[in-house]
Amino acid sequence: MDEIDILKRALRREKLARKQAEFIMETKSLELFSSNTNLLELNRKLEAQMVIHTEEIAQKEIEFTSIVEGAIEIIVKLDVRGNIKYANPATTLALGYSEIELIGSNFSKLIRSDYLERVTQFYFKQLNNQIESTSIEFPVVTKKGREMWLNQIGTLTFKNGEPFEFVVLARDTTKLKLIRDALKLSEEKYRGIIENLELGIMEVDVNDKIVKAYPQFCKLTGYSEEELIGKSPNKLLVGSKAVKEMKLQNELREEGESGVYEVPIRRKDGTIAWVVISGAPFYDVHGKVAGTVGLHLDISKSKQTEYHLRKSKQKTEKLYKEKELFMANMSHEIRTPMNAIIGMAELLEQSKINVKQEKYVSAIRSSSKNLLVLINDLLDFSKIESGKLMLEIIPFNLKELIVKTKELLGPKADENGVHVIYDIEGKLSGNLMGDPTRLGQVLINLVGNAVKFTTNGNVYISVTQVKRVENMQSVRFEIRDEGIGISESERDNLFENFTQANQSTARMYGGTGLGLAISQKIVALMGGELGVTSKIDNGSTFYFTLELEATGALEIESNGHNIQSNFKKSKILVVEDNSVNVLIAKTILENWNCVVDVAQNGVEAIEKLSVNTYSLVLMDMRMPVMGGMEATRIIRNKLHLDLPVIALTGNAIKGDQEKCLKAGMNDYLSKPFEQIDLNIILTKWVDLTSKDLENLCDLSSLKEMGDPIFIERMVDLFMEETTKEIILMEEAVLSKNIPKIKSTAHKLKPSVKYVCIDRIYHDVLTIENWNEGDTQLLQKTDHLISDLRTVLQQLQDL
Amino acid sequence: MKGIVFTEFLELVETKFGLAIVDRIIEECDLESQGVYTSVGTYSHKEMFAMLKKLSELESIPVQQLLEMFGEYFFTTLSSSYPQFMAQPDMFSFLKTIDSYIHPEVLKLNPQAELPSFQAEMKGDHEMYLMYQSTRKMADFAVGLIKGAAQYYNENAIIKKEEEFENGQIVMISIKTEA
Repeated sequence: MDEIDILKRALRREKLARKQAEFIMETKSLELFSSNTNLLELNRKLEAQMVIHTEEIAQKEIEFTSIVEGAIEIIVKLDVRGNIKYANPATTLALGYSEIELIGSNFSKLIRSDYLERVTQFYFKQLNNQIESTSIEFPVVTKKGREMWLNQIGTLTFKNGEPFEFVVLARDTTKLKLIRDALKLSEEKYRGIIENLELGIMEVDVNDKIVKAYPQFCKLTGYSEEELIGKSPNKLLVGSKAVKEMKLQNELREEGESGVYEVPIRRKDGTIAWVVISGAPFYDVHGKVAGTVGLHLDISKSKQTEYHLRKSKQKTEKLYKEKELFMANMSHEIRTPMNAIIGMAELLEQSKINVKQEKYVSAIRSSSKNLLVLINDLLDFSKIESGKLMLEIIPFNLKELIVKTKELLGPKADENGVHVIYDIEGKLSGNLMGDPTRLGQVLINLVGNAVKFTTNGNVYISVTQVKRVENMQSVRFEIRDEGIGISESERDNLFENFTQANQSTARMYGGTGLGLAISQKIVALMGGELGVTSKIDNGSTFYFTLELEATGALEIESNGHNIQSNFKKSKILVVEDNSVNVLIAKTILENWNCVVDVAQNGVEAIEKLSVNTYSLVLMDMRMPVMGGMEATRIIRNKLHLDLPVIALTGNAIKGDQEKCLKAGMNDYLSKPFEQIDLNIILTKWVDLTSKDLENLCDLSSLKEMGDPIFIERMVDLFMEETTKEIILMEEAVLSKNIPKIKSTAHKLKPSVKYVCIDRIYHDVLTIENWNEGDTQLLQKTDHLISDLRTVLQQLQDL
Repeated sequence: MKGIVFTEFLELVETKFGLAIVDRIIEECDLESQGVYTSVGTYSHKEMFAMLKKLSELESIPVQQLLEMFGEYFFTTLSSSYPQFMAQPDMFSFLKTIDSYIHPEVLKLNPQAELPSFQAEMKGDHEMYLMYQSTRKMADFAVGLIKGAAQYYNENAIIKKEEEFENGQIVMISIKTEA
């Protein structure tokens, strides 16, 4: 029973255990199923993701491949032994080998043989030292045999820690290499040029220190480059002027300007070299001025040549000046005695002489006049020859010129029984612009010749208008004679220098033979051409045409100058060292009621001028001690006198007259002068009107007081005393001794009251009662002295 | 505790002491499961200790001895059921894999399982010290299992508990084989 119960219970437990197990199993199975379902779902998702990822990877690979395939760079994969595993299209394109030819072959086969060892060693080193990336440049040879330079980056890749393959990226640098080579070549070339150039090149930094000196510069200076570097180029310069110049140039350089200048430098051996420096700034990478490049050209030799040239030019100029001076002296030396001869002859003619003597004197006079003409011709000729004849362009009257010419030749024409007939075309404008002196010279010469070679006939002067455009007139001058004529053969060399028609002409008619040559040259200078037509025994016609501008009305000087023979005791100072000339001048001037004072030279003239008052000074130019020019300058600038000063010029050298005027002279008179010329000058410059107006004497009070004898005695006394007092007063003014001036004025006061006009008396009173505040008093005193002198002069004239 | 431990235990009790003892243990222990066990189920380990205690009373055999006997028996079941864990060539190699391989594998299938740890250390070539660690305090069961393993690998081994700590939660076991 027990056993059955035990078994029953065991069975029951087993059944329950089985059911429990079945339940667990079923639960587990359900769990398993749902897990499985989840798992399947997961798997599905995973697969989908896998597909996406795979596609992405594939896309990436396509992209990457297209980059590699499309790259213009050569991309090659090599195994560690250099065998080609992959080559992109750029490789096949560049090297000319197909992919099939390349894959499996060794890269070294491409390398140019002379570089093979170097490149192989390079990559062995990379491999052995496991360097990840390297770069090298070397040449390869393409299939067609063309050489190509590659700049190659080699990247070593690793697999499981071991070197796996080379990925090589290369670029064709052939062109670059060519450019670099060309650059190097050109650099070499320019270095060669620079180093062999005759120019010394040097570079200076912004601190003015030499940073580079090329061999030629070292050769130029004698210093080595080591000696020059770090030094200032100033050290080489000679003289402060050169330093200043270089400083100026450097400042220009800092502003980026280049320049060329010449300076002297001192070589190491102490000698001096002249160099032309052409300096230009150079810039750093930021465009800032980094220094200066100076090119130095040794011009010592040309400087030397220049020096010699200058010397020789100076010498030539000096010689020329000497010649000019000689000419001037000559002219002076000749004219001075000529002046004397003519003047004396004139005076002699006016003195009481018999008829025979008159003839002799007349001969002397005409001969010396002829001689003067000759001399003038010679001087003119030399002036023309040396190109020193300058033409004036001033207004002049044509008719006046012709009349003057006719009048001048009147005596000679009368002598030869010749009538000079002139005809000026009516439509011609009489007032013209030109050089009347030179035109007159030509006319006198031509008409003179015509008169000279004609006996008992006519000489015609005809002036016609050929053409006129507005104010410009073409004026034709014709001088026709009825003389001996000139043969055709003689005509050819008529205008040559020193030529006369034939030797017998010279004997018969005289003359230098320069007249026509001079006339021809003057006409040419005026733009015309002197021509001649002639027949033997049938007269000659000389003609020329000039372009002359017509002007408006002209102040025509009165044709006949009336000799002014009374200059009312005008005081004239003749400054002249030649006693004969002095005598002539003095005689002429005194004839015209002038009071003549004489000074031997400039110094004497100044002395006299500072003491006395004159109406005019006739001043010779060349005198011992002090010449006229210097004396005039002192008169104007130191004595401050503005009286007329007339130059007596013995020389006809052009420019002297201008120099006279420049020195402060008012006019000039060419020696030897004729009386009429001197008279014209005096009339022009001596102020006779003021003389009449300014009568400073007033003797009316004296006249009331007594008879003429009393007056004369009083006047004499006044003159005697006042002359003395004036001198004292002058001294006092010079030393600015005011009490002395006042006391002198006090002494003068009574006599001045009776002899002078009231104004002068009041001036004396003002000075006597000197007011310290009046700054004009010294000047007033000067004025008083001058007035008193005039009074003395006027009293003397009475 | 896994059901297989209970079914194998009752199998061993039935074989050694007869079905009547099995019936008596179940009847006299007030078991929550009422003695119904299936190898795929999971039951409280307290039931195992209750049954061991009852068996020890009925048969007058100490619990430790019973546990050791059961461990030795259970190893044969495990080795035949899970041959994939028996790849090691000798006992010491096998024992080393418990912590490093077998137990991690077991946890993959039974994440809730509470497994003891076995830290192994060789002392020379023929002696191993194995440190048992578990709150279940079943070092004797472990000793039985090791004895089973020695039998499986056909090795003469002296296996004994050297020292106990923490009231049997940590036990040092020495395994000595013949030279």
